[in-house]
Amino acid sequence: MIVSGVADFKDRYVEALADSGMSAAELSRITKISEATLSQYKSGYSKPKRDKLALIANALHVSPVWLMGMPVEKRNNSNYEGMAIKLPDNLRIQLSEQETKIILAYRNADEIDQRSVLRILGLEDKKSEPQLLAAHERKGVNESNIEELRQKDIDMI
Amino acid sequence: MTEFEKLTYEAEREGLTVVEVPFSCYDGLIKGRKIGIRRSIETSAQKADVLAEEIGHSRLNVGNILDQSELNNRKQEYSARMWAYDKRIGLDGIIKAYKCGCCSLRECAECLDTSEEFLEEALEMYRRKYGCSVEYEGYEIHFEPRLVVYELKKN
Repeated sequence: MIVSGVADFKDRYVEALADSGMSAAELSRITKISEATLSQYKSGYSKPKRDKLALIANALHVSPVWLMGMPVEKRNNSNYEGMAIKLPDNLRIQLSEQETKIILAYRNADEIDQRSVLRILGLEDKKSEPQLLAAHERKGVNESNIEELRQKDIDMI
Repeated sequence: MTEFEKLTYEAEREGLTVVEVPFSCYDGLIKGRKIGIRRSIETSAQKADVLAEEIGHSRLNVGNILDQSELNNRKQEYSARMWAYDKRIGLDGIIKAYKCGCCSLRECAECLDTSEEFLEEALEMYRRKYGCSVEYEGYEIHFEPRLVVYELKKN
């Protein structure tokens, strides 16, 4: 059965990618889907399964249903309007477009960048991660009280 | 700007604090987000080598890894050191030194603003990682019997 208004995934994908201004390499970095696989989607050789579809839709800020080819709104409204923090109804807050973008960018960032953001915002979970302590030994130190000297060095910073 | 200054700037952008201190047992030490570098290290190239390793620790390691008799700590130390070799030298650095016409390890080290000792250690690590030779970006780099670089002809 042919349903009218249904487009191909590859056309929608190409359109969304062009709109986002992102390169395939960039999308690959964000979604962790290989460039080869993305290239197969682009050519229509294969289509993504649900998990990958969600990753792509999320990265390109479009509705996954639209991306599948269905005749629905292109923008994923739920990204901007429906992303409410789970709070009691009377305290439910609405995120602005900018705030939503920040959250999505955070979710797509790698672990090091995420840690930097948390550090800047003072949200680092200090308890969960033991304090890092590592050193590069100086060569040719043979003092008898070396343990004492090491501790002195550690206390210095 | 020396490599040490560049790395210090980079570390500070990542939220690390770099200080030069009169250590007696360590060349470099990282405690949490603070890195100490021994003030009396002679050259800025050596300081940059030590600093790169400490930044590697901050990026890749967790917890107290001072006790190197523990296997897990040695693995963490190795990963930070490899990160430092790639950061300071890397296969790109070897090709850069070749393009600069360097003929000895000392000249290569000078070209890359690193210490000769650090360069030798890095080459030994690359030899273990890649074997006798490796092809990279249109060049063939041989680690044995000594460091030689050839430019591969384009067909």
